[in-house]
Amino acid sequence: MNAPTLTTFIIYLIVLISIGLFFYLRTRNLSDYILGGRGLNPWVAALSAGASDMSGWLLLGLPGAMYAGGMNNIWIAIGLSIGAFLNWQFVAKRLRQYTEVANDSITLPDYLENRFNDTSRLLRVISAVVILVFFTIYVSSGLVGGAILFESTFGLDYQIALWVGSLIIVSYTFLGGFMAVSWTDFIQGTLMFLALLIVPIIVIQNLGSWGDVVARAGEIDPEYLDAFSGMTLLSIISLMAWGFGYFGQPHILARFMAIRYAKDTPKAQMVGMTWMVLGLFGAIFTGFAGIAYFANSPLDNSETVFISLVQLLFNPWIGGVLLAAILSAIMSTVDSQLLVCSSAIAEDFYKQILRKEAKRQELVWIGRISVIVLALIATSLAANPESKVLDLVAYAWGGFGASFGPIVLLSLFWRRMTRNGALSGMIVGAVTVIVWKHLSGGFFDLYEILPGFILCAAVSIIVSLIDKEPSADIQAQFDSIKN
Amino acid sequence: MENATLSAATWFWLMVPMPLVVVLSLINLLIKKGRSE
Repeated sequence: MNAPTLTTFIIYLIVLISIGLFFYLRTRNLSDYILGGRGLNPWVAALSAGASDMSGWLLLGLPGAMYAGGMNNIWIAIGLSIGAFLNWQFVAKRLRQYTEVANDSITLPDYLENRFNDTSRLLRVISAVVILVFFTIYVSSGLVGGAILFESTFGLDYQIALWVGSLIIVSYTFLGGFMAVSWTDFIQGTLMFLALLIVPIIVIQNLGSWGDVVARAGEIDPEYLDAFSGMTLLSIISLMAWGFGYFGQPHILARFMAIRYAKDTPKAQMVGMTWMVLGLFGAIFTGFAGIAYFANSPLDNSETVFISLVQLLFNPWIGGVLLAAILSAIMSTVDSQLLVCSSAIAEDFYKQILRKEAKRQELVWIGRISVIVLALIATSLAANPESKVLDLVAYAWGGFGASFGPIVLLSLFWRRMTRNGALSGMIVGAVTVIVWKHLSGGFFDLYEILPGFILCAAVSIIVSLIDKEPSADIQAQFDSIKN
Repeated sequence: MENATLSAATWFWLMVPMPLVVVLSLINLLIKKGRSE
């Protein structure tokens, strides 16, 4: 076991748990726990949205894909950048305003119910079910990633690595809720950013220059240099369609709802987009430089390219910090998702259906217990080391994008949308993703988010138009939101 | 392999769309700031 790396990890984890404890002492009610009482400054909101979005994918998946396939993997990064930009540009501010006007909604199901004045509770319950199903899978994929990191860095047994990682993540999500998660996300986002700037620069410098990297990669296989090699229009569209997922990710939308002032969103957007694009470039160049660096001794697992470069090129103390960035990336996503799930249980099931008279402290504790139960389920799901992390991530991302994406967009910008339109669209989007996922060949190789998104939008619009017009109150509330 | 380089199309797709969204975010910020002053 590497002592400097282990020491760095331990110091880092003590800092995270201290943040959890600090906010534990300041949590008074469920809104504090779930949304931090809408108190995020634009920097924290931006980095927290980015860090909770990107997960281990940015430090393991994307560099791994670039290392394995070369430049034809840039399309997913382009699609995600455009999607994130559109989400900040059109959704963030309006959602922040609307959720406050719509009975101070603090979760996505809460917002949808209040937006359509749905007294049947159907919209809330179905959206909470979608959240619980897809996030449990999403969380388990993150825990698998964390276990692989601990396993490869410290030589721990997979199962021990999994339980250690889960225990740490649950500790501070359990204690501090949203503010702890957002502040740790901020620290984690900063660390990820630094790692993604430093590593590619050092690797390229070590190999001579960028021109040398390109020349060596081209010597191995000229196809590494071409963004279009082996790509069809369908495969490019499929990769870029990841961008559609942004409009429906509850853990990212929660950051928008929590920004302190709606007028802060352009600044948060600027910070968030700069962080994201520089991070994506760092991941792309790290993976690509890895092709040249490991030209003579290719890696068995392409996704360890970032870890391997750090271990080979950096002093173990600095390496420990850089590897902690990978842990950061995974943890910052898992904790946010656990928190959204706990809010779905406390706010959408317990308070609305089981105990309407539940007091504030009681709900905070229901939220906390939910975090433990969900983490246990997700950890059990992750116990099989054969689980394919990226497949599960793609599935959950697609599920949310197709179920909630069009509903969020239409609910924010279309006055005529009705509750039945939202409900039917959400169900059709989720079912399309699940069915499409099990089909393959030709047209069905298209990423399921795209057909799911289109059908969800189409059904929502058609059903809303057939349905009775929304009440005057709902339309007045819609009109009260400033552009 | 002599003078291996990325093709112009690859350079374009790598270096234009992603920085462009940052530039557009900056323009958006400046416009909003200008309006609020």
